Amino acid sequence: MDTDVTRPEDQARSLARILREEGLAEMEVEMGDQRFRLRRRREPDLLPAPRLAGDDVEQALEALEGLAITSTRVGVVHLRDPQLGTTPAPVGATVEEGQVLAWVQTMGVHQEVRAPRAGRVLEALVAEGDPVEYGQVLLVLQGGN
Amino acid sequence: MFKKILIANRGEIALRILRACRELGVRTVAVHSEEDRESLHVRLADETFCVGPGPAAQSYLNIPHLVAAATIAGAEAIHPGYGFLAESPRLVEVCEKHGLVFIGPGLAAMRLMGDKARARQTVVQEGVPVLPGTDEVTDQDVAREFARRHGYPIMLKAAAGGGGKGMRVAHEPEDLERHFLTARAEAQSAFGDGRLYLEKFLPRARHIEFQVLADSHGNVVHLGERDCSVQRRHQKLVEESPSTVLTPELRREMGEAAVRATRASGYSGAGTVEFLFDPQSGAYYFLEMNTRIQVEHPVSEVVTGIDLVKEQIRVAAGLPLGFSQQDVQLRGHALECRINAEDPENGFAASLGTIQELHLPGGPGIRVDTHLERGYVVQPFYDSLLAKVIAHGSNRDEALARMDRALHEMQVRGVHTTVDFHRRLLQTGEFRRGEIHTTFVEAWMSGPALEA
Repeated sequence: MDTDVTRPEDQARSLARILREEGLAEMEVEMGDQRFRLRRRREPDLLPAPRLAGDDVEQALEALEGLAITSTRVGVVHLRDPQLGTTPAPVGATVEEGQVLAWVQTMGVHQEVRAPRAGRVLEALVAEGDPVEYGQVLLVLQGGN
Repeated sequence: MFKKILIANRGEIALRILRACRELGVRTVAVHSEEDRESLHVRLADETFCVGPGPAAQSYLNIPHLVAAATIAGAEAIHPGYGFLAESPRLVEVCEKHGLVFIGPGLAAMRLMGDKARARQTVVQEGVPVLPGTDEVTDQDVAREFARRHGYPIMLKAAAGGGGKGMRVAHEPEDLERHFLTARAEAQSAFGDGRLYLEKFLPRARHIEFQVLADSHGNVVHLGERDCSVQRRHQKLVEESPSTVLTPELRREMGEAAVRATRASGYSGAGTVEFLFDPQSGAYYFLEMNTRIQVEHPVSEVVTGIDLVKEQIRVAAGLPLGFSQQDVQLRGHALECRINAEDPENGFAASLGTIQELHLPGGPGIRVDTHLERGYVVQPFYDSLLAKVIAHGSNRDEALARMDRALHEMQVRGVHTTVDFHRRLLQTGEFRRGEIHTTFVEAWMSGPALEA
């Protein structure tokens, strides 16, 4: 995957990877005027490590002043409007509070995912038609105070 | 055989099912709440889905999420384990609609045996004895009339019940009045169904249940009995097989009654037919049928050498049972102790916390089914079962000695457990002599024995 170290989300990801690979519990990094602190949960011995959990993502987001939009359903995510075929909240778009960002389809029912506040779509962590679990981060919103 | 199964449970039973799948070469999909993200069966599964937050109502009981996860993962079947959705006709319906196999009985058999009054009628037609009892009782006059005719004590039970909820014993008319309302309220809140029925209560009876297995080709076998008389507030604490009070003749007779009851309900899969047994008269009475794999299934597994969970999966896949009744032999004696995160010194209050240290017993004849590991957090959302310690010996004395030795070895730090309580219980003269009954634990605990 291409990473651009000038993008804050890629910086956070790189840090998360270093943390995991080095087996560190916590690290704090200063880059220019930005400061990151990442903390990781206890890793159990012998068995496969748990996946990067919601908490870690939240820590990274805090540094970015980002807001994670998570799925409250298990199902298939749609970033495109199932009726119109348009994408209401592509990366880079400015969205209003309460605007529909995506849909999660569970057993045939489309559940709307709405913006809890206004902002800019910083990143989409899922693609159209991806399966998603409860709590999975779908989009990251930034700004909008 | 299935290629992939979704395990709709948590804790030790999720791990037990995962192990059976691995041995059968079936891939596994684990589901979990946010709180169980790091649990053992999740880490061992081939695929995982977080299906909701900690409270079970929003995660392990969330049928749309479970079925969506199964469909997305391409699982062909759902194993419900015990508890949660194991006896939910709704899940069976939704599975059928979405082309998924529910690993358990069909809808009709589950509904029939889940309705205690209809279950009674069904087995009576098969000549299986039942305790004097009633159909659904809606008003207290009918209850009082029943009590006049059959005498106290009387047991009030929830029609949709199980697990001791909505059950009350009335020893005199005042009890009946009081318990009628509380039992109905309890049944309503636990099962969403406040219907009650009454049964004559036998205070010194034994709870003896027969494990059955049925395939979809009309074969039904039983795997002998489990004596689950050691209970506290209708919750089983210790189970053993064989029972110390059944003769081979009675075992055959009750086993055949269990098979008839199973066949009459059109059952397939693993199930348990529960009886009350009166050691004085040698009479037995059908109580109910549990349409699921049970917590205490390992007791039957170690005395018969049959892997019940694998058989359950095989018959759900449409395969015939690989053995007949004559092939089932009970070898030696087995006991199971349920180790709970509870404080026996404090009214068995739930004990929450993180497991700081853990040593599990082993050695000859010992099996431990548990999801525990160091760092595991005992959550308030789920039941308190931490581990099942199963001891097998060539006879009861050896099984008892092995259990005592195993419980002595077992170390759990971080939460209160019932390990020491079990050791003391198993050392009582009554238990040693096999003189146990369903109210024995309460009687023993109210006596001076606990302070000794």
